Amino acid sequence: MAYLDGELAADQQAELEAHLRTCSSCRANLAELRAEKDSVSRILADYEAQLAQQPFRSDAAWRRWCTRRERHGWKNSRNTKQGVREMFYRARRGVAAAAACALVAGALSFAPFRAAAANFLQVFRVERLQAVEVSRADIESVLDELRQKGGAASLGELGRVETVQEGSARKISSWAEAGRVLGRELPVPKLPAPLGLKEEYAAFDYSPAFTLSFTLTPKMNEVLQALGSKKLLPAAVRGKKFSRHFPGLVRVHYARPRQDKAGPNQPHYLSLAFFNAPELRVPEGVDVEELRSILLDLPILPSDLRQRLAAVRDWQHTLPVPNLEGGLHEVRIGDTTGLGGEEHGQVQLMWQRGGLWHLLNADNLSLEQATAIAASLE
Amino acid sequence: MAGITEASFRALFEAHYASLCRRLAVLMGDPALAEDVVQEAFLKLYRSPPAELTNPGAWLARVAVNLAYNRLRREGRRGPLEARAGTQEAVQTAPSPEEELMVKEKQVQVRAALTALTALTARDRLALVLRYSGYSYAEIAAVIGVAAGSVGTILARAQRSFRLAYLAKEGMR
Repeated sequence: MAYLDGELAADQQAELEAHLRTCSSCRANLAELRAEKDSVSRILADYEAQLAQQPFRSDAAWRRWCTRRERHGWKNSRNTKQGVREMFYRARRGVAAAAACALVAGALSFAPFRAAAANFLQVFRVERLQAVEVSRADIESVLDELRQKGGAASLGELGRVETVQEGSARKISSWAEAGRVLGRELPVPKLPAPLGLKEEYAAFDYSPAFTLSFTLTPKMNEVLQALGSKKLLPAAVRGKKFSRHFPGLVRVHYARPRQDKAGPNQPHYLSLAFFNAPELRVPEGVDVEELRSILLDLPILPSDLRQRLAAVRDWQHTLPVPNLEGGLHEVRIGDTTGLGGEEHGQVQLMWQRGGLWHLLNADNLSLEQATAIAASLE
Repeated sequence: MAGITEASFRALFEAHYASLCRRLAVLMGDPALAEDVVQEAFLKLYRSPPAELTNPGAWLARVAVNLAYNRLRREGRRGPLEARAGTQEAVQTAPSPEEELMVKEKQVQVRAALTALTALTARDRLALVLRYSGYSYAEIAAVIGVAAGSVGTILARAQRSFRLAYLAKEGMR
């Protein structure tokens, strides 16, 4: 067969041809194989031609794909770097409703810029995470409200959202370099031997810091009124920029090489990311507490979502993580508490210790196993 | 995703979607299932792009084929192929009796091919179709997880079983 397919090395081919000249039964076998191959190729060609009549429309498919991408959310992410961004960005992407939620949820996501750092002034360092349940119904409800009030477009006039990335992604060579990049020594995980993930599989990379900023426009109060708000924002915040700053992230990715097949209970990959605490930056002279209460009072928010958002304790130091499908819950890791969840055979875990944030994800790994690995980083 | 913007991602999608679907449809015997798998491959590219993406088409094809294989294996040899074999009606646009006859003829052949593929194990089916699509032994070996030296034997056996099953089915009408 390999001979017919041109897959034999030159010397093997010569040897086989020499043999064929003297062996009639092998010649007959070869002829039969060749006839079969031709016949199968013809059948498959017809079959393919028939199937090819099926039109595959890439424009419709693209829309389906986008929906699917949204639906899967960050929990399916195999890529920590992407996962983090998606988690933080998800609300920002696309729909105005999500933007509205984020806005309020992050009360959030107000923030600033490094360039403008001189004007800031109040910096809240994120110390904990909290999953905030956001259901599809919540989003639908916000969307409906916005439609009725003709507000989807005007919401954009409340403030401008910008993302600025500082520097670019690059590869890193070692744990030592990764530590230098973050300015602190990084803990090396103890990966249980049965998982079969070896230290030499580790690859390192860096993704740059980025800032998500929100600037209130001069029309902010008109927008709020249009959305039914009874309270107005103080003139002092007009034109002010708020931001969430997400520091650069170092990732260690253990990926099994192709030749090392994973067993049934072995991960194909395990990813660990480290980053310093994200920050909420608010311009001087702004009463964030007041701002937050005004936004939370927006009538477009379903009341139970409002309660969930309002219930975020110590919100200046808490990063609300939209929990769209309810797959996240609190997980105890040694002396700290993180957020974690499993879905579709993938596990995600995020926690903070001593100001260093950790994000772990892997496939074929239980939440318990992931927690044990997390605890080994102490 | 580092380095790939939404616009260039969309362009990749436009460039490769339909051809990947056609390839996968042959492999899986079901256009809808093929589309599903191709969509999943793009999700993978979106979420976990390889560090070096020099040939996105090849990368996508490899990932999609692996996904298809996993799915076929998971669903067993009596999987979606057979379950849907009866629903593979070609588009009926042939008014004249001769054309109608030809369409019928084609349908019988396609169904026989489908049935014959279903009779193979997922591994043999994949090896056979991938070889037909121009994959090298080494590439086939990587997908189905065997040594490259075994591919020839697997192919010889697969094509024999396939042809016998096809002839049996086609001869039955």
